[in-house]
Amino acid sequence: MKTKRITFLAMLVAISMVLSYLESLLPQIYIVPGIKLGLANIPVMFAIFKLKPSDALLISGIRIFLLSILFRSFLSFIFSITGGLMSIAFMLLFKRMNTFSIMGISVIGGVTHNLGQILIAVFIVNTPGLLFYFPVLIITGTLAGIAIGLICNLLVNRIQLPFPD
Amino acid sequence: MSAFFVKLKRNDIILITSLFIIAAVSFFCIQSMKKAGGTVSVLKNNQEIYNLPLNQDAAMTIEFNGQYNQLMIKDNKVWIESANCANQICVKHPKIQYSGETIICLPHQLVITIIDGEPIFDSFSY
Repeated sequence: MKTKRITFLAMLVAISMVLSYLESLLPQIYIVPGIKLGLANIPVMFAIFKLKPSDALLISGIRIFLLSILFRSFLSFIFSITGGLMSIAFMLLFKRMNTFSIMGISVIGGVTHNLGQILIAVFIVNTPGLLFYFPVLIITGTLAGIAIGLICNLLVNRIQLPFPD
Repeated sequence: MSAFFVKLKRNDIILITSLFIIAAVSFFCIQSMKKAGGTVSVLKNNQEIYNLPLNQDAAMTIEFNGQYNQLMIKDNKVWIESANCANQICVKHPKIQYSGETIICLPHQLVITIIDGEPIFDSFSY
């Protein structure tokens, strides 16, 4: 039972790492920096709805840690982890409050991820002017959240956990 | 089975609509507050290294420990022509011209901001 659980979580981490890579292959939009789809959020959302809150944090944290030591810099680790933790915290909070469907949670995740990244960017480079990007990032975060929400809704409805939880 | 469509709650609709409204309102607030820029301020590692007039065309390479960003100022607009940073976000960033607008190259810790008012060193200073 425990082994199944560990294996399943490890698989979710692997999937989210592959999705991060796939996303880097997609053409990117450069209206402002920071626009992205957030495919790697899919396994995290799955964990939020099907597994324990700590599992969601674990999957996201390990993914970001591994990607950073393998391919990225320390600075990008700071950015990813801030956006990631912020969005997961808000998604867990609103999931608990039970006010939104999976779609609303996903949108909240997208927008708070962008908010977290822009706040840490303002802090690191000491440039409040970056907040000018936020209106655009609210829109793109919402749209990305809707797309990811549709996918996660399918997965959460269809995939059965291989172990009782 | 209509598994593809999410059964939206009323709150979801309210959330998404209000996010769009917040974005639109703040976007138009920012647009209406835009002022013409006067000075291009270049910061490296949080220290100002250049302070250039926006109305004077210039092309310069900011080089530091093998990291370079080629800065262009032309027709009151500023952009990065090329750089050897990893993500190339600064190169792809649209040209900036209004006060408060910023181009950032995070890998190189480089911040280019337009501020209003006259440059500290204008063309008469040198």
